[in-house]
Amino acid sequence: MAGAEYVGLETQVVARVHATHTQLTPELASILALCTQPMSVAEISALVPLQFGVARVLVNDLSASGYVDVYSTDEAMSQDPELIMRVIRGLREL
Amino acid sequence: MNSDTRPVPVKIIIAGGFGVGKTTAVGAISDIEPLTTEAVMTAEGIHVDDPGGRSTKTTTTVAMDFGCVTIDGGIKLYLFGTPGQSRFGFMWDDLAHGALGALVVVDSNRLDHCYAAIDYFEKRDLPFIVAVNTFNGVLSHPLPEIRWALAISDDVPVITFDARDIRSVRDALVILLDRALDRATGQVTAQPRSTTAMR
Repeated sequence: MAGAEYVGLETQVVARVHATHTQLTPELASILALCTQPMSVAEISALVPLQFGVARVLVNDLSASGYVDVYSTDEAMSQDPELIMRVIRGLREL
Repeated sequence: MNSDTRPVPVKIIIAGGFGVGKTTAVGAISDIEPLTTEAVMTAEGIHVDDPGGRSTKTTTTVAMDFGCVTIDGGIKLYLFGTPGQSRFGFMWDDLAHGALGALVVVDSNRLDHCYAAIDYFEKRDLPFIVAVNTFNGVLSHPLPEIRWALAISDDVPVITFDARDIRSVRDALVILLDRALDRATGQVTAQPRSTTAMR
């Protein structure tokens, strides 16, 4: 799925455990360092910090070169009744 | 990463004018301190008559405060605040892509700051509800008047809530998600906008 997947604000970015980053620019290395746990592109943008559009491009680059995996929720998944029910149940438990 | 641990991000848009309580609502329910991401749109106009080829640029920056609620099973619910005026609309396609729905936060004295966002959600057929922030305990106009002024159809819930109160914010989100669920299960079809109410 690397490279082709839609990368949005909430897209989760996870560094691949075997990723080495000796060749990366400081911005790319900063992103990779943040993504040892699943991290959204919006959080990456806020924490590095980078404009969202820039963060998205760099995440796409990291994904295309195999440093990270990205996980998005597409339009069809967001209309899955089971997923919506799980979110409702989760909120009711707060 | 196997399917059990695969992170599942979902999001809800929190739209409304400046100072209506978007960030307060996000902060009330978020697991993390609200963060801010900035997006910039540059529109370039080139003076074609000018042999020097000078260009003018206008830049619009939108700062979006957001938070996250972690649900079970790897679901992370992101809440993104966005101004409701049309000049910030360049981010709405990205916000709406895959969104569960939108909570339109309204100050009953300043309804005009959410017209453009409501128009957009209606055209996009994205489930939304209108939540009037009554943080000061004052509702300056009755809800039916607000519904009329916003020209929204009768099936769109218009509620009051307190953006500072986690339970109140939670309840507002659940009402929105119930509506999204009805849409997803086909119990509600998109209704054409009322043509009788005028702004």
